[in-house]
Amino acid sequence: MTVVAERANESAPAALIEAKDFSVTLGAEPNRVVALKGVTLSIMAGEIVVMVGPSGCGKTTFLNSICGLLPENAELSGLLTVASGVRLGYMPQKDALLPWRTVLGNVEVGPEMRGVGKAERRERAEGLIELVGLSKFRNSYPHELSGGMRQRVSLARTLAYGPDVILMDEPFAALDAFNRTALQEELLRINDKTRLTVLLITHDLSEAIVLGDRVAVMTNSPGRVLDIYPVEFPEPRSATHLRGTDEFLHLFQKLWQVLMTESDPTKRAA
Amino acid sequence: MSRRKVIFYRILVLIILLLLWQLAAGDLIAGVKLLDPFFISSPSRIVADLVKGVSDGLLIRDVGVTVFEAFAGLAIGMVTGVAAGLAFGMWKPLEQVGEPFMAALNALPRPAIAPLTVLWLGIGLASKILLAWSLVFFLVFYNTYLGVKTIDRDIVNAIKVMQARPDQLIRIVVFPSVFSWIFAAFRVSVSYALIGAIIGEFVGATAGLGYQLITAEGLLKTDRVYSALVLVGVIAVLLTSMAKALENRVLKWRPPVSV
Repeated sequence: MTVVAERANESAPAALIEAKDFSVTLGAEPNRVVALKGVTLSIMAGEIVVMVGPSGCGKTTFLNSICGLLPENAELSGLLTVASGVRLGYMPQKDALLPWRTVLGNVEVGPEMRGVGKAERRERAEGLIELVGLSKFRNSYPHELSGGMRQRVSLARTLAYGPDVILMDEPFAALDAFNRTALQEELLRINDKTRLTVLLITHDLSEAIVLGDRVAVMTNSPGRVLDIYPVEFPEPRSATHLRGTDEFLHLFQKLWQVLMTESDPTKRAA
Repeated sequence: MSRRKVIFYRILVLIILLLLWQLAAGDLIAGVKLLDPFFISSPSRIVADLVKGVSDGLLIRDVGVTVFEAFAGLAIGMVTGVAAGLAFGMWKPLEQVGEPFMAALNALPRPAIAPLTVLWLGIGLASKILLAWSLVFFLVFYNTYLGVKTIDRDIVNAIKVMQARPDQLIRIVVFPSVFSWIFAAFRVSVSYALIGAIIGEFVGATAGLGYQLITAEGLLKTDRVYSALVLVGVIAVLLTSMAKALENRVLKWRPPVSV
């Protein structure tokens, strides 16, 4: 059986995360809801997949399912597999930094838990802090940093853990427009240097198009993947530059139509 | 106000109060006397009594005894309180079953238990340590328990996803985040431990500031009552400011709060 599986892996690139007809029911009894209904989506190595959809469509539930963070009363059906040995990195909307640790201490936490030696993890952390442009602040505490800087630290921390797949839950949503674009640019730049595998969820359509290799459009609750759109822009991408191109505008309008139709209750009932 | 100014005004207020007291007791200006020093003593009488008490070695011994009892109760109370708080906060069944018992035990008036502790453990140090412990334990327990309950779920999840073992989760997240709660309890605990030790000494003891207080009261030696009270106050201020200095050092990662 294992032989067959291995052969299958060789012939086609293996999905790191794969959901097939995956459904989740959540909540305590009177308010129990179907959060996800039949999600089918796979994330391949080296691609950025963006799930975009209206608030409350179950995007976060999908990420939590992958991370194993669902509450005990959650009922799952269908298939959700994370390839064995795949390390998951998780970057939430709120930075979730340890307030009692410096920037350096926060970035080191992943390697520290994996038992990486002191000198090595320090070196790794220093490198990543430089990558996100915060070298000057490596000994600062989180409360001394701005929201944008904190989210950069969060990104560095996630990268330092050395994940095979990075799950991002609206990572830039809490930032002001300037910082949001700056961080999108940052993510693209890092992705150019070291190919990342990312599943990012957002309700910001332009963010989805700018960052995604593929954009999965979600339906309103209960969430389902309506369609997946490949996004092909010449590399290296630039978040600011792309937004002015015809291709961007064309795709934006197309997906916007899809989303609007989907979230319009009169059309949905039909 | 600048730090220097604050200290200046504090000292000024203290001097004025002492002078008024001295005046009221009739020890400042001959012929001016508002109250009998038998009831209110006076700063100069207290100083004289302190000098006497220190020179015959008695008060020093009493301070040592009381501080020792308070510290022992504090140390044992901190350790057991933190342990129980962590256990309650992290193990749901224990929390559900044990909560009312803790509330009931904590509500017991300590002066009412004091004679019992002497009955159990004798008039030596142990009964006072137990009483000091009984105050410190609950304070630390409730703070630790609350600290565990209010840990940021997002932080826990972010660390859990990185495949943290339970012991790593406790070391990296739980412990540091309840630390500030434990320290908040620590500062108050210092004075509670003193109170516990002194209440214990009231009931049955052969030494200690509480013992001094109760015997001096019995003999109507008001000067000694006041000088013992002054010592209690001085010790409390010294210990709590040490606790605060320690807290500021250990919790330097916190955004500055002015309390």
